[in-house]
Amino acid sequence: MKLIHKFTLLYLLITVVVLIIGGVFSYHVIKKEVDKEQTRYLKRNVDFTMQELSRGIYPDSLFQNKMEIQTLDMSVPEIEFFVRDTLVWLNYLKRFEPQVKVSASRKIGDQHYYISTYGAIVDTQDITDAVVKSISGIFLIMLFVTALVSVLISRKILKPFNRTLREMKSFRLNEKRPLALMNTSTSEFKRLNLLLEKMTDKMQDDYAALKEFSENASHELQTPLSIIMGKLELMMESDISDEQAKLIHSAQNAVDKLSKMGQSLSLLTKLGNREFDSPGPINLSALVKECLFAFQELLEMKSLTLEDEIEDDVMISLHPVLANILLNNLMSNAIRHNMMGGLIKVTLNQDRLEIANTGEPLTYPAEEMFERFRKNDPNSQSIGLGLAIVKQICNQNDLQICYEYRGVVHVLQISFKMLSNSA
Amino acid sequence: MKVLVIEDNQDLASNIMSYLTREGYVCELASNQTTAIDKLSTFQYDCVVLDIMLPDGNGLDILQHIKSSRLKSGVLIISAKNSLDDKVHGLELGADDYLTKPFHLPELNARLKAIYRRKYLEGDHLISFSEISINIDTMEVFVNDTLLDLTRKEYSLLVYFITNQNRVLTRQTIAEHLWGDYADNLLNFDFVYQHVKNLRKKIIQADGHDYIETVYGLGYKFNNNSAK
Repeated sequence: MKLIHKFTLLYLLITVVVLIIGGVFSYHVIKKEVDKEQTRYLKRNVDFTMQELSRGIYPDSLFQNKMEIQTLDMSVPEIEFFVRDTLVWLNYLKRFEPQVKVSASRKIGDQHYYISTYGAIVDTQDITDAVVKSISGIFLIMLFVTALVSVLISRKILKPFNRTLREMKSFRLNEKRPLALMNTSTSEFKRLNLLLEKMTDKMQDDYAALKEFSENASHELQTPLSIIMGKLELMMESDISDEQAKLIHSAQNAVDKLSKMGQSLSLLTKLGNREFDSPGPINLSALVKECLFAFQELLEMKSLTLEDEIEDDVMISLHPVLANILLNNLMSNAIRHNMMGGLIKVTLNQDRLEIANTGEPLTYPAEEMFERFRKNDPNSQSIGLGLAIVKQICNQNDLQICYEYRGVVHVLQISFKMLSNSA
Repeated sequence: MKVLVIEDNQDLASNIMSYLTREGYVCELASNQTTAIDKLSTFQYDCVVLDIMLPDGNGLDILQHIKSSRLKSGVLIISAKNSLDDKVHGLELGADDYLTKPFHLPELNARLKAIYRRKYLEGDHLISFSEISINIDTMEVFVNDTLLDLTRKEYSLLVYFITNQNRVLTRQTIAEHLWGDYADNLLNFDFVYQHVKNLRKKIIQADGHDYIETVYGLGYKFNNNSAK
């Protein structure tokens, strides 16, 4: 439930309670006023009748509706005005109605008259109706206005807040774009925006520093590696024993691996920096064919059967260097994790690229497949960054990659949004 | 061939110098931009091995100097930055080739020789070594005047061997030379063995001598002294 709805509902609930109490209160106030007026009128009526009586007019001729005149014994003391409520049967309403009754007695000459009269200007039912009607009217107006205002307010007052939410949602640590927050006069939102701006600035600074460090580190690594590699090569030229040759060879393997790891990590960093913007759509079909051709020998070496279904002129928007890295990594992966005499199936059409290969099942959960340094065989010579790079390339270019193990076949599928068909 | 090595790292420079000197080149070293420009204006070099990152400047400035002074030297850039921009930029400025650190010394040698051949031996398309002659234009190889039927890879392998005679070439070095980026993730070098085996067989079938020697535990060597 939205905040503004909560506020509005709570407000309306309070309004209902207040209106009910107010209604009861108004009813009583009105009733009291009406009764007061009624009493005065009745009193005047009684007074008038008394005067008429004292002028010697005969009581019977003073008879009127809702009034009775009786004679009391002279010994009974005079009764001053006595007001009370009474229930009167009303024929036209078919029920008893509370009405005001005023009675008094006076000794006029040798007679003691008792006069009692009752009546109501307004029925209590009418008062109730009027109060309920006016209160409901007020409530309806309130409801309408509140709803309208709450919609408008949420649009206007919450606009900066919603903007902030949108900005935070689209915030990427590796983009150097600052948050475009809206100016607001609401102090809570001001504080929120200020806090978020500070936080994101700090995050971006830290991230940039970290990135720069890893970038420099992987660059700086290359020179000493070059030196080691060269020294080992020079050492091989000298007169060495078989035992030494073996040592040199394994040292060389390690240097090689280290250098490749450094290159891969720096590639990942560069991907993170978005240094490869797509210059426009490229013909993926041609690249896939080229790549398959280049891997031909390696396929034969492992006696792998290649099946391909490649549609012509599949265009996607991707930097050609990245496309090459992507295809190479996927293909070499499919070859490396294959078995002798296995199968590789490459399918490319307008919606997707699919590379399926036979192979042993994974030794780790499939979700971890794209993590860095994830390897099926810890002793393998691969560095375990290939698929992490593939994943990174896909993420940054709106390509969806997913993995499936169907029977004995590993399937990696990349689905893309197509730009256009053949040009 | 006269080569100027512009490299600020002493160890790396000495690696390059000793490898190239043994190859019979005349090598000189410049460890900063000032010395490099001095030497370039005083002497003439066939090839320049140029490191991009120098203590007192950018190697690309030296490249610009070479081009603007219309020096004939071929330029091979070596850089730790495997960045595409640098590569494209360097080649656009007129460098002849680009090598990323860390590199194999035989690869450096092969690239330098290729530059040299392209630049200075324009009329000469033949590389000859005793009974083997290679036409680098048509990519044909003759052994005792018999045309060998070599695949592209076997051809490149033979040129690589002849460029680096009497050098131990490891399987990695060869794989990287033949497959480049494709070799990156495939550390299974059986296919190098396969290619070497086929090349040997084809040369021997054409009555050539078997110059390619297996070096135990390391790789191969093209031995030019083994001819009897």
